[in-house]
Amino acid sequence: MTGSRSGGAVAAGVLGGAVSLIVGLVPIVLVDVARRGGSLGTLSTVGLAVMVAIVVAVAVLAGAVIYRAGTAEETGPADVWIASFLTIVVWSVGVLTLVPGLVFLRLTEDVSLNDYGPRLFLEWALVYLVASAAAFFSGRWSLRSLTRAGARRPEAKAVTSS
Amino acid sequence: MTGPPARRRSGVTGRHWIHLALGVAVLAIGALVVVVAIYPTARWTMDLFPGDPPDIALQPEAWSVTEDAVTFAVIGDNGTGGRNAMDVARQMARTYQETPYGMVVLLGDISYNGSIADRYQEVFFDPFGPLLDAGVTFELAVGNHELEFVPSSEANQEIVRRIEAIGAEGSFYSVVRGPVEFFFIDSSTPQVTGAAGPEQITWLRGALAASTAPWKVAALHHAPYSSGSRGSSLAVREALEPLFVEYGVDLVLAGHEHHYERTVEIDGVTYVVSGSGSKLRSTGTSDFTAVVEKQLQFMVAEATPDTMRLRAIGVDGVVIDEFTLERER
Repeated sequence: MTGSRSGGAVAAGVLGGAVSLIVGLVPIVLVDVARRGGSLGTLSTVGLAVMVAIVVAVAVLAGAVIYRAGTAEETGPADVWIASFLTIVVWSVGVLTLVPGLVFLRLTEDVSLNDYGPRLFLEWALVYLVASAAAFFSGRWSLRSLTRAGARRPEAKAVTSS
Repeated sequence: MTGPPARRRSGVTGRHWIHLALGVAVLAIGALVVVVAIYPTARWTMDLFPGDPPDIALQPEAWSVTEDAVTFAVIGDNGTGGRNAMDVARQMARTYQETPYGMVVLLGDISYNGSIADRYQEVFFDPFGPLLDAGVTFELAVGNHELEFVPSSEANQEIVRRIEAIGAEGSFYSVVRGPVEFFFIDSSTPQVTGAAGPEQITWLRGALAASTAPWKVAALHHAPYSSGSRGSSLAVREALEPLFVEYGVDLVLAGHEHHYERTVEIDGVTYVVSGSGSKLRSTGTSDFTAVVEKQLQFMVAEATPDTMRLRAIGVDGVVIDEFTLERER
């Protein structure tokens, strides 16, 4: 593996992880603002810490997956970049739109706010994990698809020329 | 034997562009979700966007209250401090210039998303600054967002803070203005259907029985009759409607639901939901509905011993509903 390839993979992994971290923390900051305003009942600091921990774990996982893909022999830099892009986009859209949307919609309801904290946490975790899973699977599909296409073409050429 | 390893392509192919397009498409769909679902929620349902406070100078104490006449305004669920709340408050100030009123009936939820101790400026002084400067007084029917969390000592302290902040007299009380006696009812959980319920019911029964005012108007947060998404507050209806009917309450003003609705007369009582002082929510109609509108609004009422004329007014000054109650002699 060349140094530039390894460096590129590290950069892609760090970038992917950082974007995942930032996008994942945005809804939590929103939730914390609402919580400090008194709208989220008994959602505790511990609950928020668990949310942050999940986001960090997913971000580290995202970075590691992208780095691994970037250093794999059969993939090319363009493949990794596109797959990472797709992963981050799908994941960001899911988290950025669904989670705050869910929070806003729930905040308008008139449920007992004492029960709201745990319920919000469960809803957030569900949507967040579904968004993350969708992102990883779409990125994985993208990477495999591009890698297969990259591997097929030269062989096809070789057959034609013989 | 394995064959030679597949050659790795590092260049960008047409397939790469397709994947890029897929990513952009997902991004576009996400943006659409934001625009279609979250923006209206934030803008209208939640009133999260900031607005400019009304900057209107009003003539102080331009109203006149005699034993024979009083004018008052009504607004519910106005506690966002957002753009909608400012727009409604601005129109209230404009309406004051044409029809001065000395009292505003607040139908609860005067401070969303936090204690009024922290939000007094943005949810109360900023929107109602011109009216406060003109000497208008405010009376409060406690809402569920005054409880904020659940019935607790902290929640009760918050109710007290809000009552003190606007200078109202208590959690449930009555005031007489001209020919109207107002009964402010605390419909929050502990006061109507909870442990403290009997105390308030006993007070209300006595106050209604003792009232000699030509008009009896009850103000509370939870609507006994509503076609909104939350529907009628049946527990509140069950607890209070018999008293309203027995003691001849003419008009019941409520909030909680974020729309405007007036019922037909039900056993001699007209029920009004005036809860779109800052937030909006969808509504339907019921067999008791006379008028229903999903619009930001407040109300102005002019009462004499014989008639009480009420108007629901939108943020553009257009009258959404107008009706007159007449005293039978």
